[in-house]
Amino acid sequence: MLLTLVTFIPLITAFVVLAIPSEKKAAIKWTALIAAIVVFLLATKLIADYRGGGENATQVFDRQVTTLLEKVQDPGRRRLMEAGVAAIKLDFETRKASDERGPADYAAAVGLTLAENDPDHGTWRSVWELSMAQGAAAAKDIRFVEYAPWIDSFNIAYFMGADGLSLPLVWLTTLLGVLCLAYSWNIEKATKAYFALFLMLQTGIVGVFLALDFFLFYVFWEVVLLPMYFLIGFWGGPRRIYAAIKFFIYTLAGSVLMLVCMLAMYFHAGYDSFNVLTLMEVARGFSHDMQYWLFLGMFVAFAIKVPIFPFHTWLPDAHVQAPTAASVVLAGVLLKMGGYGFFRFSFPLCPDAAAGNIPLWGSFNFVHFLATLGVINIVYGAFCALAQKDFKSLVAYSSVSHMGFVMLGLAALTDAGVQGAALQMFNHGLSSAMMFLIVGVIYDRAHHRNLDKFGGIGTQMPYYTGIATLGFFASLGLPGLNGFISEALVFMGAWDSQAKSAGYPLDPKFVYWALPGIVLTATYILWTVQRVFMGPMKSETYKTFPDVNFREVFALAPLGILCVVFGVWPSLILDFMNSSLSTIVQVVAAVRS
Amino acid sequence: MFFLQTVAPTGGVTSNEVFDRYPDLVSSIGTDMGAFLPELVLCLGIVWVIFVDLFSKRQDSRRPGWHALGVLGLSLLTLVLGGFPSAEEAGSLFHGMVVRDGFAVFMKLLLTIGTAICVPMVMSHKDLQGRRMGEFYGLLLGSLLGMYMMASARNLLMFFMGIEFASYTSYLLTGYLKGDRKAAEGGVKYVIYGSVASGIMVYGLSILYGLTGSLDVGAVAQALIVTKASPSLLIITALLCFAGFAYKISAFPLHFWAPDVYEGAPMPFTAFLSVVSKAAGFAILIRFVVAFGAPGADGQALTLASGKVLDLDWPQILAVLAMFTMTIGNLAALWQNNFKRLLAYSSIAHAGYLLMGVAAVVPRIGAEGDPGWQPVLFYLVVYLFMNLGAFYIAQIVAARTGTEELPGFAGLGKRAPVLAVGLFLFMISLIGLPPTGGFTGKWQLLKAAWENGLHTLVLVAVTNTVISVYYYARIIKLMFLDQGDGEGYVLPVGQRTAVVLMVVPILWLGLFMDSTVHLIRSLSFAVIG
Repeated sequence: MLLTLVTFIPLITAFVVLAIPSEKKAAIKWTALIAAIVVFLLATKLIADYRGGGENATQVFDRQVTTLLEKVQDPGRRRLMEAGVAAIKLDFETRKASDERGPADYAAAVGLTLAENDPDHGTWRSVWELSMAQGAAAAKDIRFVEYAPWIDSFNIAYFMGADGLSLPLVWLTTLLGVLCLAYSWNIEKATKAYFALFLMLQTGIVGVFLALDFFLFYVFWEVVLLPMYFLIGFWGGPRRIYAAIKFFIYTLAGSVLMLVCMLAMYFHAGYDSFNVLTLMEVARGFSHDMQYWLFLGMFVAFAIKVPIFPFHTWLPDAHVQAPTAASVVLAGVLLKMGGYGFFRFSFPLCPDAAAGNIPLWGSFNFVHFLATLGVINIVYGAFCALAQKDFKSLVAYSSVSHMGFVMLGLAALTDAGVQGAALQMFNHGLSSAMMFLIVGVIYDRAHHRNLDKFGGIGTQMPYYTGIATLGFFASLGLPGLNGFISEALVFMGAWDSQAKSAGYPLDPKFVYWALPGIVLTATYILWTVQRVFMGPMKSETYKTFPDVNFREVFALAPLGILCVVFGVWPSLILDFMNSSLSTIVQVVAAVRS
Repeated sequence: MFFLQTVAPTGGVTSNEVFDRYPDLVSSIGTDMGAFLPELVLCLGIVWVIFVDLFSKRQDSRRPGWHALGVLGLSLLTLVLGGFPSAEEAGSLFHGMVVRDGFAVFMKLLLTIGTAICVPMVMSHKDLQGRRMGEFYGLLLGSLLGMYMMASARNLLMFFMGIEFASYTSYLLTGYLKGDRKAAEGGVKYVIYGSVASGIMVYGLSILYGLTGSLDVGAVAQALIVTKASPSLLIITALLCFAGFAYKISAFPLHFWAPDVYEGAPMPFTAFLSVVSKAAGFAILIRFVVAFGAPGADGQALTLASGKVLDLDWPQILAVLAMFTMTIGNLAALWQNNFKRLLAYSSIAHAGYLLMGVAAVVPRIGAEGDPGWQPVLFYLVVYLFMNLGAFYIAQIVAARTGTEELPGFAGLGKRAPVLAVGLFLFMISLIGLPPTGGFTGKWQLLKAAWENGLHTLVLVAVTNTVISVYYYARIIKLMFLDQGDGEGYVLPVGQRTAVVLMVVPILWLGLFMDSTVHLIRSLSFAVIG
């Protein structure tokens, strides 16, 4: 129930907000903010309760299989089904990767004959599906499970669950939800629609992280699209309409490929299942040829979202044009949907491709592919950032650069690398959100973002300068702040890949190639700090700028504090994610040939 | 000649012979009439509506409309009371002229509801006020009657009669606004294209008759298997027949008429053409494809519909046509500035999506899954509401702004939020985004095609979806992101309710499609042959 609340309270509040007359702006803002705070508290409760145990997906499905079996009338048939379940469980221990077994195979193995129109046929299918799901390696970490039939005719379920991978991202989303709504207090243009759309957006994003039914996931994934389209298109900058439609078309182009992959998996060998855990189990048996195309299809879908070079061109446009709070959500959590997709779908569903067993082109396999693109992202993104005159597009390109680390860490496929990648997603969520807020603060005052025209802000706005510098240094990867930990872990993981990789060992050369990115990052960040805060004041108007107000501090301070906290105490979150992440590594290791 | 292996048609038949062959000819007509009640209601309704008009004043042009609605309601009632025939009850009436099965009843329901939504649009259309409207409604009901025939025909002659009956009435309705140049142009183009397409189709049907000596679809299909007709002849015949259907559903290569006709016809009739007429076209096409794909008596499956003919299998040919149809529709729609033309091209694209289901109607050998006509029916239900809804809102907007061009929609979000949000939902449903029925419907079509191994088709279809975003989003952009001039206005309660009534099914089918899917799956389909 908790997950449903966290997901749908914002949506319900959105409708409540729409029902409030548009003149009552204060009521609208407070309703939205209070709902966001409630959701954030619920998400915090999820984090706190997660360790305490409670049933995990394995136990839940075990119980459900038992209930299903009890409903079977014919005792002989029930015994056969029980034998079938036992066979499935036995297979989990002994099964070779290349085996591929559907409900019909297991039925045949235990001598169970069921006609297509037999009512027990459906039961057996569900029994098979849930037995497979409970055996998936990831199932043991998934808690707060909610499972109910949704569209029975196509075997689509409302299946929500959270694990160490998704919960931090959910928490981050709800946190940014509170901060963004507070920061948006000064929105005067169509306030009602703005707050309603923002809440709808939050439902979509949280849903993406929590859905464990592929169909449901896809629905949430698409739900994110339209609110963001409107936020950019209506409240954005001068070229907002171009940026909005570009964002829309790019993302949709990726997601329809995901839809095709989804259909391919759904139909493969007649499993007809959208349960992600079940798919993870059967995926071990997917042929290399199939995994090749699945991985590529999903890659495009997620790569556009991350965004990975060369699919990144929508991002600078969208970020620069979007209103500040929308940029924060875009960089903070929307990009993570792509990264999350790699962790949750691409790797476990195409383990052979992820392990580098499948050549992409000649001797160039998917591990090379991801690592190369990751390195390009890091270096190319940093170069682009260096060249920007616009403050906001500099931050946008820094996102491209930072998300490259996620790819490199994933490609390394060592414990350290994958942890670094996941942590980088979380850390980038904090630091990029902070940087966009920082840009927003100065833009609200100066009404331009041209880096060459700033200067000397430091003396005029000392508090602002302090917070901003903290944010910039977190992004730069200064030791003691969060960015350092994740980037260091990624490099360690990539370096170690030769010895410890679960998949194809990555050449340490990739680390050399990525290293210039660090220097370039330091360059553009320090240079920006210098151009904005130091030196002579380039305009007299800057003397009138007030320092940060309460609204801005309220949005910025929590992020700054968290940057420090996770910088000095990273194990707080690493321990939390550890088990779920090592599962991914193990799944890939199991198929490595 | 390559079709020498034909069965000679039986010679002339005298009336005595007919009675000898069908001893219960007269008595069975009486019993079959019971199942024919919806059609009879329409027949009488046509006369009634014209009759009512004779006795009403000219300025009282809405009166026959109410009566037409009553006739449609009565017809709907008889359909509902008749229920969906189960698989055992399904059969044919009037010695094999028409079939009675769940599919036909469902289609008739759909067609009737679609027409019933168009009638109030006619009644409120400003160009159709203060005229004698009796003929309009009479022709509309006549067109619907023809479409009832299309949904249930099983005799080649009935195929042709149904299509022609629906078409001739449509020609007249397109040009109903006589003084209007565009209406006249549309009407003439419609007649010319329609006649050519019918002519081609009749030629195809005559070849079938010549080959087999029968007009009954089942008997034709059987005879084709038995005689092992030349594959090249069959493929030419099928393509000739397809011309007639393609023209009805505005599929490539017979889609050229659609934009001009849609633009010229009065808005309510454009809506009728794009939804109801198209649905009927799909009904008859499905009937045809299934008939010729049914397993033959000797277990040798599949002649026209899915046999490998000339190394081309039929689903592939339909798939190629579907690809062309949707791509041409979508690409052309990108450049349109008139709402009706835009929706005309969009409806061509949707014919392509629906053809995807038809290509999967007959599961290919070795493939399993639901017959493709089920997703087609589901999508037609969704399409009915979203397209009629879009036209309905466009008509209200056009009446306010006096233009049917796209800029008329600018700033609608501010002027009339209910209309704008309604049209927005119809647009995202037309794109195929969740949480609307457009998504679940298109998903089912994609699923059917993928299940039948038409992978390229699926890829083309999803690419088309992305292309279509551009022009649908243009309308969304105009409504919400652009500034428009013009006063805001409050909608009358009636219009507001109408919009809500059409939005609700779209969202319902998007979120809870289960019951509808179950209903469609439970429909019987009389397999002929």
